[in-house]
Amino acid sequence: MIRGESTQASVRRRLMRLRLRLWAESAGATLKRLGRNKSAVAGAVVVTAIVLAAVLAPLISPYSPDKMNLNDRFSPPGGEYVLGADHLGRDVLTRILHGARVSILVGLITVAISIFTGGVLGVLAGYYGGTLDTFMSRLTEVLLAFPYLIFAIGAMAMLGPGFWNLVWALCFKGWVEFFRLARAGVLAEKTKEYVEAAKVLGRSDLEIMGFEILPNIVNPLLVVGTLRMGTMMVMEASLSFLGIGIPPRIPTWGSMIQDGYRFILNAWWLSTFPGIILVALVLSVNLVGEGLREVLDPDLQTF
Amino acid sequence: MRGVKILERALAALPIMLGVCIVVFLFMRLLPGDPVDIMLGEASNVTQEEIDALRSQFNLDDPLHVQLASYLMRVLKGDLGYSISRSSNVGKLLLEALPATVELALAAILIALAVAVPLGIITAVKHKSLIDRSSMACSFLGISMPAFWLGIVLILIFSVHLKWLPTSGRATYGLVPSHVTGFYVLDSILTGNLPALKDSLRHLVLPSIALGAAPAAVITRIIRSSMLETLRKDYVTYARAKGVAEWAVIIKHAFRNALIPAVTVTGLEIGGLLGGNMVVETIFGWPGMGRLVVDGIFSRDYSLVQGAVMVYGLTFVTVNLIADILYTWLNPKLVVGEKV
Repeated sequence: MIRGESTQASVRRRLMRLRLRLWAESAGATLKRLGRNKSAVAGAVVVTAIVLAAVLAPLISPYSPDKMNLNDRFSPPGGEYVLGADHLGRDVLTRILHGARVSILVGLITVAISIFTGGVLGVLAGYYGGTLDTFMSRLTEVLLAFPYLIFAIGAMAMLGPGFWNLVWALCFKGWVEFFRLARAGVLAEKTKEYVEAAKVLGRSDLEIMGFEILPNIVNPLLVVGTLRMGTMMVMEASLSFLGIGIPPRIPTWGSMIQDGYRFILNAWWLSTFPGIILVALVLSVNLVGEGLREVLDPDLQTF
Repeated sequence: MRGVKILERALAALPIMLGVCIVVFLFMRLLPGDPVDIMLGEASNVTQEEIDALRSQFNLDDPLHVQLASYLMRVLKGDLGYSISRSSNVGKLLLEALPATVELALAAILIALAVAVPLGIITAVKHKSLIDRSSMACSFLGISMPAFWLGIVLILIFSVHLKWLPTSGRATYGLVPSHVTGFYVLDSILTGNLPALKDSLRHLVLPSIALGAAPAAVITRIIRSSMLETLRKDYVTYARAKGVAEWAVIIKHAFRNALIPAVTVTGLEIGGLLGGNMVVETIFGWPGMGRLVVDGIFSRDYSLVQGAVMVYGLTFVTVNLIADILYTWLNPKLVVGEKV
């Protein structure tokens, strides 16, 4: 007990320490079990490799992503340009490495915003119920009535191309799923004895939601969050492919595939390679997500 | 009893449809500034009448709720606004493009089901066998692969390299069947036009595979997992003990019950299909609603985009409603439960 501290504060401090230790232990156990899942490990290795390549892109890429060399237009793969050169003589490999940054950032940021917004609103709506809950639930039903890509395309049509516009367009609907998961979780948990006990002990609503209920409902959010990173990356690529996602001056896999598609009759490599790496990344993220599901929440219906 | 349940579901869809219209209306508010100015900023040779038509369409000078009310009234009357890029009614444009889109979507879902149903049953029956493992790996790939890239790869292999199938369009010039329904396959059958039938089917193959791959993967997984569950049920063991032939146990006893979740998922997958179709239509030059929207975005034709997004939303609600009704109809529990 720290001198001068009240008994109650000391109990709280020790309780908090206990909680942190328990969380760390269960996180460790999860990782250990995940490590036994071969395909999840393989996925994690590929994801790590691509992330590293993306972070180090300016250092390891053989050329500058915008460097044009019109003499080398449409150089086939295998020569001076490992994966070939595009219609402006830019190195495909370099642009793939730089494009990885956009895909990864979009996946991470959109899912982070969606989990946070959806999680907080879902916990509040589930815990307090009432008008907020009714309103939010109706709103999510309406948003679910739109096919995701169509909604994003509509939003991008209005907002115009841009990195943050794209993030917002994806998040407008992205939070809905997490809201529903969090809300359903809270509804199932809030009548349980430990919540009653915490109430009797005089814990505030905020503490009960954050420290008591949240740890018990967070698993499906983490699983779905991992899987949605893949979905978001595909969505970004689709929008950039259509030319309404990331502005053309930034290299992205979607816009590279679009560029290559225009020259599909004479340069197969332009669309093929960015597509392969996109599929590899999304597949790996999904493998990790499925592995997490098996460990954390085997009954969750994901696909 | 089932009738009441179905009616209840249908009525519950109405407020959602209203919500869809409101969200689409609010879409327009995302635009910074005056929508009409922005639209006309890009368009050239616009007549004064067209400007006036747009002005009255959005009645921007009224307060928001008045604008919303008049927007909803117009939608109810079937008026989705005026497309400046094509100088025509949005509703009329969408209606013309609808058969192409529906034809492609139906072909895709048929291909998806033709693959998913047998594969889902086989993988469940031969659980953990080689065929199960490899199908699950394939379905994972199908889920992770964007439709547009699959489309490009298919074009590269089957059109560019092998030259078996056409790269784009719905029909070769001169082989378009005479207009009856707008569905080329159906029209060429109705008019007995064999070359046109062959031609439109050839055009349909690649886009519907590109579009159907992801739903096929998802539906296979669902059928497999619900088959695995039902195969363990007591009534299946009982049927086997009674001496029912194994195929009859699988089809009549297990599959019938495994079908129920599959129906719901198929309904949801059609939503994904509608989204994917925008991209796939763009790649294959398919003259459907998706391509209309993408063209509309580039010509800043916001009424066209707005109208199409709403039609897509309403279609999705309707498809899910149908799936729900089928679900109620297929699920005997709901009826038995009511009687007890």
